[in-house]
Amino acid sequence: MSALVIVEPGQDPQNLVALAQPVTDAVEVVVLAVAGLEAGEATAEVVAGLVSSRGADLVLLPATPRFAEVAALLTGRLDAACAPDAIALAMTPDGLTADRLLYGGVVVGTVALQRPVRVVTAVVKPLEGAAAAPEAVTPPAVAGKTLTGRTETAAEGGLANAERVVAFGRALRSQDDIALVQALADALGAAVGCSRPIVDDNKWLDLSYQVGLTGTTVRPQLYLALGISGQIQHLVGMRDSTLIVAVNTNPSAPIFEASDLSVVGDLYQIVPRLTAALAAR
Amino acid sequence: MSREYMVQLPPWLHWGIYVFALLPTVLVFGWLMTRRVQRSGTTWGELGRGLTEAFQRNPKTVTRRVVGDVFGQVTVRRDRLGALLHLLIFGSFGLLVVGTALVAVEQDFTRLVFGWRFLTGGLYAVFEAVLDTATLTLIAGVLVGMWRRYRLRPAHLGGRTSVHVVYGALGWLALSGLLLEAGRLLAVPVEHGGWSYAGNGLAALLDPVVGDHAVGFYQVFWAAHAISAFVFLALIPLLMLDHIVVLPLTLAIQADREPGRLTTPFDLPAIVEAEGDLEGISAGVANPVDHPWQRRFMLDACIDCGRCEAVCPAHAAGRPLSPRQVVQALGADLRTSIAAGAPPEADVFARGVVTEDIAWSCLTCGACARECPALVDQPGSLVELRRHLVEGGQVPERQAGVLEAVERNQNPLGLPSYQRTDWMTGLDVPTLAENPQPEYLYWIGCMAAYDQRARSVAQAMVKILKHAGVSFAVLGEEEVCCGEAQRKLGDEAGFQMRAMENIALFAGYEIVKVLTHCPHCLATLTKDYPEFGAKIEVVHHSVLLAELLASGKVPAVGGAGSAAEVGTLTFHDPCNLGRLGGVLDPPRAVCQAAAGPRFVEIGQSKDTSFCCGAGGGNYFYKVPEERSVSSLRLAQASATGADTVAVACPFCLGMLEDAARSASDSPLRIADLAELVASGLPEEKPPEEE
Amino acid sequence: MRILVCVKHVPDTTEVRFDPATQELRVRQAPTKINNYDENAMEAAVVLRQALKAEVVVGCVGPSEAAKTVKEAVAMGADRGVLVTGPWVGELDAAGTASVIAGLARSEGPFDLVLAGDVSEDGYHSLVPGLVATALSVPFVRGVSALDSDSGGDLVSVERQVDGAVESYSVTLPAVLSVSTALNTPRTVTKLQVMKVPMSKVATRSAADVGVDEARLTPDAAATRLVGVRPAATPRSNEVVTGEPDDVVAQIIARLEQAGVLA
Repeated sequence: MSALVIVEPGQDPQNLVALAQPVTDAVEVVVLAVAGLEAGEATAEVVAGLVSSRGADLVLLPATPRFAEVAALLTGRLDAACAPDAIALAMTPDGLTADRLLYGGVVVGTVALQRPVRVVTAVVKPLEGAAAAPEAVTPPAVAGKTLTGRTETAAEGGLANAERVVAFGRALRSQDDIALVQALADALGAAVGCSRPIVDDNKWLDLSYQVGLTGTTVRPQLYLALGISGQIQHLVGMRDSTLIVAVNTNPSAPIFEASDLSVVGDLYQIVPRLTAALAAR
Repeated sequence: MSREYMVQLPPWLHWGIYVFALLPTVLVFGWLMTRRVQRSGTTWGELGRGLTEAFQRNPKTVTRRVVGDVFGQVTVRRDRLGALLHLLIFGSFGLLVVGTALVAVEQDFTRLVFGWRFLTGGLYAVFEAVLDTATLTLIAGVLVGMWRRYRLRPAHLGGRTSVHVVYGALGWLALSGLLLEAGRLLAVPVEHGGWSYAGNGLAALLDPVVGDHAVGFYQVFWAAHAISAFVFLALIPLLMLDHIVVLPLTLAIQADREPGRLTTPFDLPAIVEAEGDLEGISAGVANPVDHPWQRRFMLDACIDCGRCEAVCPAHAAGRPLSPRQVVQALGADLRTSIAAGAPPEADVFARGVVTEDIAWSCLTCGACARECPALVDQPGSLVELRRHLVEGGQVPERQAGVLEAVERNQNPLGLPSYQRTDWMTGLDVPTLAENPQPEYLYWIGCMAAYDQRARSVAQAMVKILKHAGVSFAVLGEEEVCCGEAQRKLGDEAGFQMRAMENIALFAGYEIVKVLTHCPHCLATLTKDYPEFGAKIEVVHHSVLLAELLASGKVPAVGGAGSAAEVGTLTFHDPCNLGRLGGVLDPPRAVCQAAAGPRFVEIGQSKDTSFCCGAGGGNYFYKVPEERSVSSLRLAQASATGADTVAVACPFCLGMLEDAARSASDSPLRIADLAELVASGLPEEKPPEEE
Repeated sequence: MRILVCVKHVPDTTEVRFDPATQELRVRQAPTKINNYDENAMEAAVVLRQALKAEVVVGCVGPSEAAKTVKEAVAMGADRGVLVTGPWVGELDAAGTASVIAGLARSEGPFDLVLAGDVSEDGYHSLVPGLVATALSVPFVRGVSALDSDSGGDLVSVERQVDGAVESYSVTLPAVLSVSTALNTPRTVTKLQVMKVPMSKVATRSAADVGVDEARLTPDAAATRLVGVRPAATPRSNEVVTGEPDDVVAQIIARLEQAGVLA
């Protein structure tokens, strides 16, 4: 089996390479520049060419909105078997299988990929350090779809890649109290996140702060959950964190099942003291 | 001793007053009152049929309501100062009109036809004194009214211009009546003049001024008083005094409307059963003109007294809702539409008559409707507006989320249906499968099934029921939402289909008696479900708890440890239980058992209780407000000096406890009645098998 | 203009659970619903229907009880709906679904526009719309966050949000677009509106009716096949800390130090 990893400049291929390693040692990384290849059809055509020229039978793409379009079109084009957002690959009696979350993250499903070419997408991190040179490609023409404008938007909030996250939920009583959370985050050098009701219901913060299924998925070293009950939709977005500390007044809050340290208590009692203790260090 | 009738006045007035004054007055009054009725698109014929139907439907209730409210002033009485001025004016004016009519009847009917006079002797003397007193009390009433309106100026008073006209006119009629009486006593002095003490006193004062012109003085004031009186009577339909006619009518037509009961625009289960056509049916009302005539007449009956606004918790919290303004706006819009002869093209929201926030602000606590002397159904009208919004898809996200959650997860909190029985883990609660013929089906409701805090209410009840040996069972995983949120949020069809399914569920298990600790479920099962064929008796846990305490099946809470914990106890009446459900005494009996003499009442209690802020689906969404309804209620409760506030509703429990936690200086403990009673049970576990 | 909106009939994911006792995935008992993301596609279609007098057809591939989902979508404002169903729907993968939808688009078509939500709540693949576009050989845009129909011409202007950029495209019709939730707020429909949709507006078709061979829709013939499920949660140490706030804070800091989170 031969794997082909595709990334944009600025994306770290490491996660994709690591994902492929259990099933093959032959992993080639190709960096494709975005310019000229914005349309998914164009990227799919280039990648299809690479698959055939390199003889690859496993393609790994970043799980980003842009590559989600590419993955679908490439899968159609190559009549491939596709596993988007895979978390693991393995060779089993069923052939090559991919693990991925199903039903909003309730279960991990194992999916057999029953086609000669397999397309897999998975989360990538931003690249630290110098990028490899992009592959020289001629952007192909795309029928019926013309890029008429592209506006760079501000870089994403630090949440997705933060090493420490302090997130709060419904137990916070007023918008003004976010200052309490922010002070703790500052003391920890952490990014602030929140649960869905804070964005959807209270409208205190915008979507870029939301951790969970419909927001951002985070994998920090420390995830501190303040007054978050722990709906599955939230847990999906943070459960890969290294250390999870949860503070909640309700000892049977589901968040405690997903946490390393379950602090039964009132965030209003604990947060100011914790902030002060950290500042005193 | 008797009245010298029309002395010093031209003889032709004896018949002229009927031909030139009374007849035109009656005609004009009739014509104006017809127009008054028609301005809401109602006809006398409809009113007549409506009255007949109401009396046929429920003669006792209708009679009691109309007689009680008109002559007993039962509802008007609830506002002290308003009641005083109303009684003074209504009573005095009534006496004066009746008195004047009696004189006319005597002079022009019994005297002429039978030669019989009855206003003679002592009776006449009393008659004169009573009428003079009535004149004075009428003036007093007008003065109280003017003092209240122009000096006290309570914020809830509406600003109808005709009120000023009425005060002015009544004052003038009283005054001119006294002056003409004084003139008569000066022009034709009589021995018994002293009985007309006010006119007589005035005559004594005026004598030096009037001098020889007494006859002329009398004639001028007689004419002025007579002309003003007839003009005033004729124009009553144009003034806010039209309520003299309109209110008894609207009261009679709606007298048997149950408090808190919403209108039912269609019977969907019946239509579905008959496989009827759904195309034409609609739950919402886009414009007041689209209402059936009874609702139109009702909206137009509001006299802007503002009693509803004064008691509205949403208004007190600074929400954009005033029930008075809503009814006034809808009534005005209705009149414009009727006058225009065609319904407006856009709905009330698009035309800015009311806003969506106003419609969602209502807590359906029924405080306004309870105070309304015109029996206007303000909460029902607001829910009708919500139904229109829901039907048009104009539902704010959170409300839409609640409606979707009820459909999908079978509970308004949107939690998985498979967690419904988590509260009873390890409690050994019998399900219907295990106890197929219980005395009570214990209906848990979504709050106690899912809300962490409210779960302990159901758990406490289970403990009590087991201790008392009451035969009960729960539906367990088969229980689903009763649909209260759907109905209050305006999803009428969703509610009706749910009601149909739940009624079928009850029937399938041959359920006769249902026990619930949730007044929201209670109200839905007892007020709403019977419309769709439910045949169940529903008992609130406070009623059963009071019975169990009275019969000694559970001990009073007064154990040393627990009594200290309760301290001074007060009780918050849930709107759905107290004002709307009429269950007032049983919860108090439970509180007495828990706190004895240390039980105190909140100022606003029983049927004047103040909503906790969760009613009408408000537990699940937010509307703009300056302060929370729950904090207002908590302040009223803590003003009693109580240590513990007893509640009898899981929604009130959540709201007040949240408020208590927010008010950091408030050490108030909030507890459900069941929790109080359970705390009095012996600690050791009762034997597993009873 | 003729528009096909693809809606998926999905289990309510909040009701799906892994039963630790039986090691079974409880999907079958979960209540079902219309895929939320497809409601945004429906909303976009209904807006176009009102603006351009477009004909809107709802297409769905699912079990027979998915008729209620089709009705729900039609109630939002479509002209009619078509449900393609058969014994094969149970284990259909994304590629199989896409082949049936492409068959539906051909047999009920031609359509100028095929709309769908970006993802489905259950599988979260985000594959079917792109596969349909490939099968129909028409342009595809995923993640549409703005849509302008160019007043009915054969071009539409769309925007989509990708990482760090907003791109706009001019797309020649016919085309397939999958829409993001940023595009619009779907209208809510009431039970009554759904009940008012007559069953005559929901047609049922078999695979053969839309020109697809059932033999190609078996799990073995599929591109992907689910071979196992297990609970997703990773085990955690679940140490519980309670007590006085100051003690609690000290314990938190100790734990952070132990984990090397604090410098």
